[in-house]
Amino acid sequence: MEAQTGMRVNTVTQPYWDGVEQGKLMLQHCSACGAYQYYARPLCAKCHAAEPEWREASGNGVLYSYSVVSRGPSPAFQAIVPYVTAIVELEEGPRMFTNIVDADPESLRVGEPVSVVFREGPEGLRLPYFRPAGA
Amino acid sequence: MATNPKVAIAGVGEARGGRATGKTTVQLYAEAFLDLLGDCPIDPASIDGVLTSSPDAEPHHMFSTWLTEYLGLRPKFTSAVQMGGATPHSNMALAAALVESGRCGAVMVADGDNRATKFSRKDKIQAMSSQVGHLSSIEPPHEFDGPYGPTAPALYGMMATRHMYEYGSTPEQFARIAVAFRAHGAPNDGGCGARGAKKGRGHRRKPVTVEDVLASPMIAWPLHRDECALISDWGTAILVTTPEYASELRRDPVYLLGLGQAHQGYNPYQAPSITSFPISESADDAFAAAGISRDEVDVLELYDSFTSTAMVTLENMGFCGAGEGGAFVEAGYIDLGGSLPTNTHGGLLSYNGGHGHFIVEATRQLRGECGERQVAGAKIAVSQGTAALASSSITLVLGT
Ligand SMILES: [Zn+2]
Repeated sequence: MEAQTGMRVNTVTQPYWDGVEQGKLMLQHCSACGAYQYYARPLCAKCHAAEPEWREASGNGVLYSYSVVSRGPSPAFQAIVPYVTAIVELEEGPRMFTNIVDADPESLRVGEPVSVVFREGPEGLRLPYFRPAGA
Repeated sequence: MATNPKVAIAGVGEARGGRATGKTTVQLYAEAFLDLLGDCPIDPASIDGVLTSSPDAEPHHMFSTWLTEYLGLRPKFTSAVQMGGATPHSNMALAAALVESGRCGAVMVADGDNRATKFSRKDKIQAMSSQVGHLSSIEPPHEFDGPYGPTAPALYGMMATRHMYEYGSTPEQFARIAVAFRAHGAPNDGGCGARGAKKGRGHRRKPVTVEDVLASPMIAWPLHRDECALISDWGTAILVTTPEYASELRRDPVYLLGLGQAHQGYNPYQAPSITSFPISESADDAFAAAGISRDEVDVLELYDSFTSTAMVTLENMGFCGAGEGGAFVEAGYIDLGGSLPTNTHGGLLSYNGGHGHFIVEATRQLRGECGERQVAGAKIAVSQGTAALASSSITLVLGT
C-alpha cells in the first residue's frame, strides 16, 4: 500500500496519511477514556480500549522544544542544513516530532504558538510541518 | 548498607579499542575476554552464562551464540540484548538474576562494537541516530519521525533546549560538563588507546576549557561537537558471580549492592517530559536496595552520550535538585577532587564511546587501581545507564 510515492502505509496508519494527502492533521481519539493519541495504534495506550476513532486536529499547538541541525543524517537533509527539528505539543494534548519551517531558527522560542502546514519535504514526501502562528 | 551481597564482580576486561583499525567486532570481544582472563584466573569452562549486546557495525544473527563458538565457551544460558547505551547495565541485571537464582555460577557480561572503523561517515551520522533508534527512514516503524531528519544530537539538543527554557541553564553550564570529563580522560591511557593502539587515537584526551567547547563546531544547536559522545571501537567484559566464588578468584571482589530499573517507552516525543525521566525511580530503588544514601556515593559513572544527558541524569538521580545541575557542575562537585567525582575515566565524551566502560571503571575505582585518577578510599561506586533519550534507566550500586 502506498499513500504517496515512497511512503508505505499499513491498515492502522492509512487514515493518517489519507489526511495528509487532504491537508488534514488526523489524530486518534479514544471514545472510552477521551484521550487523543499520536501516532496511530490499534489500541488506546492509556486505557487499552481497542480501535480508537479518527478526528481532525485543529492543527494548532505550541513549540515544546527544538534543535537546529547542522549535520544532516542523509544527503537530502545535509542539503537543507541548518533545519529545525522540533517537538510540538498539540492543542489536543499529544506531542509530535516535526520540523519548524518558515522561521529564522534564531527567532524561535520554546512555548510559542505554532500551526500546521503541509509541504513536500527534502525526501519528496508530503508531510505535516509547523510554522510560527501568524507566519 | 546491604550486609549480605549475593552477587559480585570477580573481574573486568577491555579490548584495545578507540580506533581499532583492522579488527572485527567479535575480535574486540575476544580481546576483552582475554583481558578478563588476565584479571581473574577463572577456568573458562566454568563460565556458564554469556550475555552480549547486539552489535550495530557488524551485526550477526544470534550474535551471543556465535560469540560462544568464537571464544570456545559452552554456557547454559546466553542472550544478545538490545538496550542501547544501557545494554551492559541491562545484562548486569540479568546476570545478577541468573547468579542469585543459582541458574548460573559465573556469567560474562560482554559488550562491543566497531563504530569507529566499520561505519562510513554517513553511517556514523545515522548510527548516532540509531543509538536511540531514529534512523532517517520513511519506512514503518520510523515514518512518524524519520522523514523529519532526526539525529541523536538533535534529540539530545532538544533536551538541552527544554532544560534551558525550564530552568535558565546556560550553554556554558552544559560545556562545563565536557570540561570535567575531558580533564578526567586526559591522563587515562587505559585499555582504550594505550596498550598496542596508538596512544590517544580516536579519543579526546586533550583538556579543554568552556570556551574551547563552545568554539567546537555546532552539531545540533545548542550542542557542539565536544558535547557529543565519541564514536568508537570497543570491547568490554565483566565476570559476574557469587561473592563466595569471587573471593576464591580475587582477593578484592566488588559487590553488587543495589540495582534499580525503570522504563517508560522509547520515542522522545512520547515521553511525559524530556528533562525529567524515570532515572529517579531506578536510582531510588537501587539506593534503597543498597541501604545507602546519596551522600555515601564516592564515585559516579554515568552515561554521558551528550552534556545534556549528564546534566539531566545528575538532577534526576537526586544528586542535586531539578534545574540545579548547572550550578552543581560549575561548583566543581563532579570533578576529581569534588564531592561527587563523575566519569573518572573520561566517559563517552573523552575516553571511549563504548557502553561497558562505566562498570569497568567503577570496579577499578573500588579496587583502588586507577592511579592518578583514583578517588582515595572509594567504597561505593554507582554506574548509571540510560537509553532511549533517558526513558530507560538502570542504576547499579557497587561497593567493596
Ligand atoms: Zn482510552
